[in-house]
Amino acid sequence: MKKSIFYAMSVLLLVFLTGCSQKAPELNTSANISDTPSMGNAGVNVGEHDEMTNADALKAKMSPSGGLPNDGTYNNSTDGFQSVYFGFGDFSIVNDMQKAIDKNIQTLKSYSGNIKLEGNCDEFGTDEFNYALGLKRAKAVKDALVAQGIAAERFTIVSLGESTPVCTNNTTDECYAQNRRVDLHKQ
Amino acid sequence: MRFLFSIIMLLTVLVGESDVELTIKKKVDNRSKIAITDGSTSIDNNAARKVFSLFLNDLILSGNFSADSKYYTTAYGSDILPTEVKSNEYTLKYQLQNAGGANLSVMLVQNSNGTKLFQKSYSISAFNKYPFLVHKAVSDINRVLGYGSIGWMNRLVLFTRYTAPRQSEIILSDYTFTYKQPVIRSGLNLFPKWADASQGSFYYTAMNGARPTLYRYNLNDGSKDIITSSDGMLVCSDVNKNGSKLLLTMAPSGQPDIYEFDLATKTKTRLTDFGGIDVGGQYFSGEKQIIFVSNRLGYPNIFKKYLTDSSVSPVVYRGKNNNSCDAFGNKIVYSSRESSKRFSGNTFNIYLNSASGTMPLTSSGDNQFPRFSYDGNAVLYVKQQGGRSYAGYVNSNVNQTKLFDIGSKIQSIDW
Repeated sequence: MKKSIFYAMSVLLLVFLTGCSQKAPELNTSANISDTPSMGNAGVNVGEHDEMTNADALKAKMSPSGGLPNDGTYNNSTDGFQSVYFGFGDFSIVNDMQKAIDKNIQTLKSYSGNIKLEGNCDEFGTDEFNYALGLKRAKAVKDALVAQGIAAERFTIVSLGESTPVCTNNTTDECYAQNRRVDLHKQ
Repeated sequence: MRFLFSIIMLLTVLVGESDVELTIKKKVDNRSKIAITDGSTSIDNNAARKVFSLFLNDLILSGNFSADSKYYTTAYGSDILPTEVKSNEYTLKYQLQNAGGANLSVMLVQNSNGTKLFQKSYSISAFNKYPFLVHKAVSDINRVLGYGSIGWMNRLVLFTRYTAPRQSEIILSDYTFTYKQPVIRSGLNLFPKWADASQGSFYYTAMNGARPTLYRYNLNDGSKDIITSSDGMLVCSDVNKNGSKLLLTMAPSGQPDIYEFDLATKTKTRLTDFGGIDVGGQYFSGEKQIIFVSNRLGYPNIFKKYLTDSSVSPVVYRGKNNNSCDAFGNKIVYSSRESSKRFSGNTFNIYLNSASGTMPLTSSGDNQFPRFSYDGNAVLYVKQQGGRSYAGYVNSNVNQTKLFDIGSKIQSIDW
C-alpha cells in the first residue's frame, strides 16, 4: 500500500516538472520598443463603396412614430414649423422625431413671438381619453423645446382629440399615423 | 352494474333537459301576448309604419310583452277588432294625428271580453316629436299593468358627432334616434352632459375661444351660461345627484386630472394628481368615491378612490384597454378590449360589475360608451360598425337587448 502511494506521487511530480520546463521567449528590445514616434500614415481613411439604401425597409423600422419618415414628407404645421408624430397610444417623443424638434428650434431662432401647439389623435379609444392624450403630446413637444432654451411662457398648448384628422380616406397604419401628431403655428 | 349506471345517467340528462325546457316555456308564457292596431287617418303610410315600429320595439324591449309583429288597421272609435288579433291577451289601439303638433290617442283592450283597461291622449308641440308620445304611452301601459318601470324609454338622449375638421354638432334625440334635432351647431362643441334628472339643461365644452370653456345650455329658452374654463382641456364627466357638483377633467398646467367643481361657490378641488392621464370621473358608492380611467399601469384601466383620500386602487383586473366606465350606486359598467390588433377589427365588450360578480353585456363587435339609465335599470352602449354608430340597450332586468342606428360616428353620448 505504501509502495503504491510512493509510485503515484513520483508520477505526479514527474508530470509537474515536465510541464514547467518550457523555455521563456527572448525579447528583442530594439525591434519592439522605439522612442521615436512614427509620423507617416497615421490618418484613418475608411473606404466607402456601393451604398444601397432600402427606403421601404427603413421606413418600416420607424414604427415608433407609425412608420412616417422624418424628412418632412408629412407636415401639417404652418409658418416654417414641422409637425411631430407619435406612436400608437403614446405621448413620448421617439428618437426618429428628434429631427423635427431640431427643425422647430431652427425656425424659432428667427421668430420671437408666441407659438400654439395642437395635440391630435387617431380615432381609436374614447374621445375624452384622446383629448387627454393629445394634450400630453402637445406638452411633450413643449417640454422638448423648453429643454433646448425656448421660454415656456411663449407656448399655448391645446388638444383637438380626434376632431382634426389629416388622413381619413383609408385604414392603413400610415394613414392613422398622420393623425397622431402635434402641429405648431405662430400665434 | 355498468348498465344500471348508464340508465341512471340517461335519466339524469333527460330530467335536466326537461327542466331547461320548462324554464324557457315559463319565461315565454310570462310575457303578455299583445297585438297593435293603427287607427290613424291623417298621416301618410310611411309615417304610420314608423309609428307602428316604435310601438312594437318599445313593447318588445320592455321584456314584458310578446308582441304580434303584424301591422293591423282598425277604426280607433270602433269596438270591432280584426279576428286575427283575438288570440292575443291584449290589443293596443292607437291613433296619431298631425294637427299643428302631434296628438296621440291610445287604448288598451282586454281581448277576452272587450274591456277597455286603459285609455289616454297625449300631445306635443311639433309633429316630428311624436316618438316621445309613443314611448310615454308604452311606459304608462307597462305601469298600469303593474310591470317593472321602463321609464328610461322616456329619456332624452344627447350626442355629438363631427361634421368636418374642427366642426361638430350636439344633437337631441329620443332613445330610438327616430327623432333627431341639432341643438348646438357651428364650431367645435363637445361632451354634452345632462345637468340634472329633469333634462331641462345640459353642460357642454366649447373649443372655439382661446381656452376650452364649459357652458350650461337651457333647452327651453335657448340661453347659455359660462360655468368655468381651463387651459388644455375641459370635460364635464359627471354631475352629482342633486346637480350641485360636477366632476371635471381639467388640465390647467397641461396635466389632465380630475377635479370636483362646486357650482354654488365656483371652487374646484383636485381629486387626482398623476403624471400620466386621469379622465372620465364618475361618482360611485353614494358619492363618497369616484371611479375613473387612468393609464397609471401603462394602459387605460378603471380605478377608484375616496373623494377625501389620495390612495387609488384598480377596480377591474381583466383586459389591457378599459377606456370608458359609468357607475350607478355600487354597480359599474365598463368597456374592455378583448383583442390586441392595433388597428381595426378589435373587439370591445361591455361588462357589468356588481356585488354578484362580473357579467358580459355584449359578446362581439366594437362596443363603447356604456351609460346607466337614470334609474339603473338599463344600460346604453354604442356599437361602432362600418363607420356608423348604433345604440344598444340592455334591459338587464329582463335580459332584452336592442340596437338602433344613430348614423355617422359619434363623439360622445349621454342620456
